[in-house]
Order: sequence, then structure tokens, then C-alpha cells
Amino acid sequence: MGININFKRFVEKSNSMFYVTSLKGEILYINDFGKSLLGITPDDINSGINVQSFYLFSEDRADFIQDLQKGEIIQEHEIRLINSYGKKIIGHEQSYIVPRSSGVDLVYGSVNDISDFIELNLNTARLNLELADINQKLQDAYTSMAQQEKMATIGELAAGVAHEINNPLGFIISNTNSVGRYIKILTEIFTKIKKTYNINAVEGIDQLEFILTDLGEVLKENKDGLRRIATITDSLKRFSRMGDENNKSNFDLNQAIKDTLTIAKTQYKYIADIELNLGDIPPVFCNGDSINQVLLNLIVNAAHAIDSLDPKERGLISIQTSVKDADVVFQVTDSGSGISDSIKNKIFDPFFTTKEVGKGTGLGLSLCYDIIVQKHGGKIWVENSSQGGAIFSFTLPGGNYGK
Amino acid sequence: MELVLHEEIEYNGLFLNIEEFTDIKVLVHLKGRLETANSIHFLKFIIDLVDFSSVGCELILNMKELYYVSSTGIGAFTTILVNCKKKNMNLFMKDMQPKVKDILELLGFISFFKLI
Ligand SMILES: Nc1ncnc2c1ncn2[C@@H]1O[C@H](COP(=O)(O)OP(=O)(O)OP(=O)(O)O)[C@@H](O)[C@H]1O
Ligand SMILES: [Mg+2]
Repeated sequence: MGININFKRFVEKSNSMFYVTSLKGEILYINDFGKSLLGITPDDINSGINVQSFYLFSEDRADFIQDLQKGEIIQEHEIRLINSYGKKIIGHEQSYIVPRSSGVDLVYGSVNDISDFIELNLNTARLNLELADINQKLQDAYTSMAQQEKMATIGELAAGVAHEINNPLGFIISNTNSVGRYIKILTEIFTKIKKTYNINAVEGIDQLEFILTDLGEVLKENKDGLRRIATITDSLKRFSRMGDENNKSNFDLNQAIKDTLTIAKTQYKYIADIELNLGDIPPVFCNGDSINQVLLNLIVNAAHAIDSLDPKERGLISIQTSVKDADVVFQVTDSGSGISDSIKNKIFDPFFTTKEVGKGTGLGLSLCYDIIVQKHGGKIWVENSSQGGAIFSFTLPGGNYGK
Repeated sequence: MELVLHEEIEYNGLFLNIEEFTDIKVLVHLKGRLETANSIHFLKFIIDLVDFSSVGCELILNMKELYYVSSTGIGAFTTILVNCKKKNMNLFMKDMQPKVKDILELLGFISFFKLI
């Protein structure tokens, strides 16, 4: 008997909610803690208040009863409640069904309020998530700083090398042109001599004739090679901090895209169709020549990517411009095979190329990086599209036009 | 952990099934209830899977048949998300039940997850 009375006292005074309800949910007994947790008065109980009204998600109750009726003695689970003051409560509930011969089964249960505990735990989880995000950002910032540093050093080096090469290159080109003129003169004189004198008997005369023709060919090849070297040194020179990069003005990016497409037509017309989605963007304050070069590099790269598909198929290059948070955004998407993770962080490095020798210098994207990031304070990055091709994007800070 | 495709594994009322596993995409089907009794098993299962997956791939949890998620389940999801981020993997939750969405919303977690 004593146990029963003491146990009743324990239940009354406990810091858990204890209750008895009918299956339908009418509250038949609830201890003091339960009353204050749910915010109910003795009047509420007399008027037959139903637990269903304290469920945060009304279907939870039906699911719970279904579980109870599966017949296990005690069901443990998390219960989500809302009390009469609107406070949301998460509790740990243990309950069981007491079948009665009258046919009116009762539910006995206890609920521990674990809201604070859960809030703490979830707060930790949330902090962890935020930490992971911050970590990611730090890593990105570090990568981009490392890249900028590398570019600065290589930029100086490249400018120096370009300068050194340019001087001898200058006189080699001019000398080569002279040699060309000399050969022309020699050939003319030789033709006259042949007409005027009978020199066929001279030993080796066939060879001389051959040499004169071949010299022209050899020279043409040399000129080709020289032109290629000149292109490279020109690109290298652009790394230099000086130059006309400070010559900035308001620039119509959309118009520049159209111009570049006209200039580059031979590069893509047999390879891909062009889709233009040019947004309503403000003028960008920048160095137009450099930005034109960026556009050209990206478009030519896109065409090359499509051209190297195996088997070959005609592709699509879509170009988009838009405004985001006061930045002007350019995006070019191609239907090539995209960029694999293994080379993703190398493609902006100078001289990185997967193209065969002589076809690519590997300077295109590093120039783009230099122009967009170093010279204009923008961003440039690459992603793969869901179709598998590459998406190159850059932003240029807007809002400083006219400065 | 050995990787078995298309075979349902049960942990106390939670059924897991790896439906796809490639270099770019890992798809797991979740069925039943995710609660205190099985959150730890679930967490271990997915973390092992993340370990196995390629860097940068996407992990899709198909939650069409997941009817209940307790707070421990949400804790498991966030731990999984942190692990995915470390591997530069994208986590997507597919076809989430409205009830499950409600609880994620209530506890202020919905914005962390990408629902598809
Ligand atoms: N749209 C693209 N799709 C796939 N890969 C690309 C794309 N653009 C660039 N790449 C890769 O990045 C590498 C570097 O590009 P970058 O423009 O710097 O040099 P390149 O095109 O090889 O040579 P260059 O531009 O000097 O002719 C390319 O060799 C290629 O592997
Ligand atoms: Mg290029």
C-alpha cells in the first residue's frame, strides 16, 4: 500500500510529464509538470481537452497510436508538441496501451522535455555546418591568392623574357625580309643570264635552279615560324604590369561580343552554332582591347573543345550576359567534353595546354586571368555544365563607369 | 564496408538501398523512419559511402519514402553534409515528404540543404 502512495507522490511531483488518455485522446489524468508544460488549467481538463490539439503535426498522433497498437509494451519516440502559449516542445516519450475489458483502452505515458538539449545539439550541428562553409571559403581564397601570386611572378618573368626575345626577333625578321628581296633579285638575274647566255653546260646549273626555288619555300616557312614567335612574345608582353592597361573607358560588352564573333567566324562556323542571350547590362569601365582578347580566347577555346570531340558532331556555343549584384557577368557554355577535375586547377596556369605542339601556347587562359583578375579586379572561373561541356564565366565590377 | 548495389539493408525500421554508384553520382534510397534507434547506423552507412565516393561527385538521397525524421536524424544529415563538403561533394535531397520538410524548417535547417 505504502509503495502505491509513494509512487503516486513521485508521479505527481516528477519533472516529467505523466499522463493517462483514452485512445481518442481525452486527457483523463495529467500531473502538475504536464499541466504547466502544455499550459493547461484544471478547467481545461474538466471540459474534456484532447491531446490531439497539442500535436505540432496533427498526423503524428494517428501514426503514434498505430505504432502503439502494434502491441509492443513500451513505445519510445520523439514527440513534437506545441503548448497553449504557442511554445514548441520536443519530448522524449515512453508509453503503452492498457487494454481494458470494457473495451475502452487507455494510453499511459511519460514525456521528458528535451527541447533545450536538442536545441543545444542542433546548434552545434549548425555551427559545424557554418564552419565547413567558412573553411571552404578560406580554401578558395587561399587558392586564388596563390594563383595571383604565381601570376605576378610569372608575369614579371614573362615580360622580361618577351623583351629579351623581341630585340633579336626584330632584326631576324627584318633580315629575313631582306633575304627574301635578295632571293627575288637573284632569281630575276639568273633568269636573264639563262636567256642571254648558253649556260646549260655549266656543271651544277640544275642544282642552282632548284636551290633558288627551294630558298623561297624555306624562307616562307621561316617567316611562318617567326610570326608564331611574335604572337607568343606579344601575348607575353601583355603580362607586363605597364602598357596601356590603364587606358580604361566605358565599354559596351554586348557589342564587343558581336564584334568578336564576326572576327572569329572562321574559327567556329564549320564547328558550332552560336546562341546569344545578351542581357540589359550597363557599360563596363575597362580596357576594351584586353577584354576583346579575353572574349576571343574564350570563344576560340570553346570552338576547339567542340572540334576535338570524338566522334565529331556540330556543337553549340551559348553566350550570356547579365547583371548580378552590380557586377556584369559574362558566361560562355560549350558542348565540348568539359574539363576534368585533374586539370581544373591548372588551366589558368601559363603554358598549360593539352593541345598538340604548335597548336596551343597555353597562354590563352592565363592571359584572361591576368586581364580579368589583376587588371580589372573581376573574377573568372570554370564549371562543367550538366550536359558535360565547359562553362567559363567572368565578372567585371560594374558601378565604376565614368570614373 | 562492402558496396552492394540494389540490395535493401534494414536498420530498425529504416531501409537503405544504393541504387546508383558512379564516379559522378551516388544515389541512395531511404525508406521508413529515421530516428534515435537507427540514426547512428544510418550515419555510419552514409559516411562510409562518402569515403568510397569520388571527390566532387554528387550524393543524392531519395527521401520519397522516408516518412519520419527525428532530431537525431537531422543531426545525422548535418554531419553527412559536413563530410560531403570536405570532399567537395554536392548533397541533394530528392522528393522530401512535406512532413519531413516541416521539421527541417521548424528547426531552422532547411536552408542548408539542396532539395530537388
Ligand atoms: N572550353 C574548353 N573546354 C575544354 N577544355 C578547355 C576549354 N578551354 C580551355 N580548355 C583547356 O585548357 C587548356 C588551356 O587553355 P588555354 O586557352 O590557356 O591554352 P590553349 O587553348 O591550349 O592554347 P592557346 O590559347 O594559347 O592557343 C586547353 O589546352 C584545354 O585543355
Ligand atoms: Mg586557348
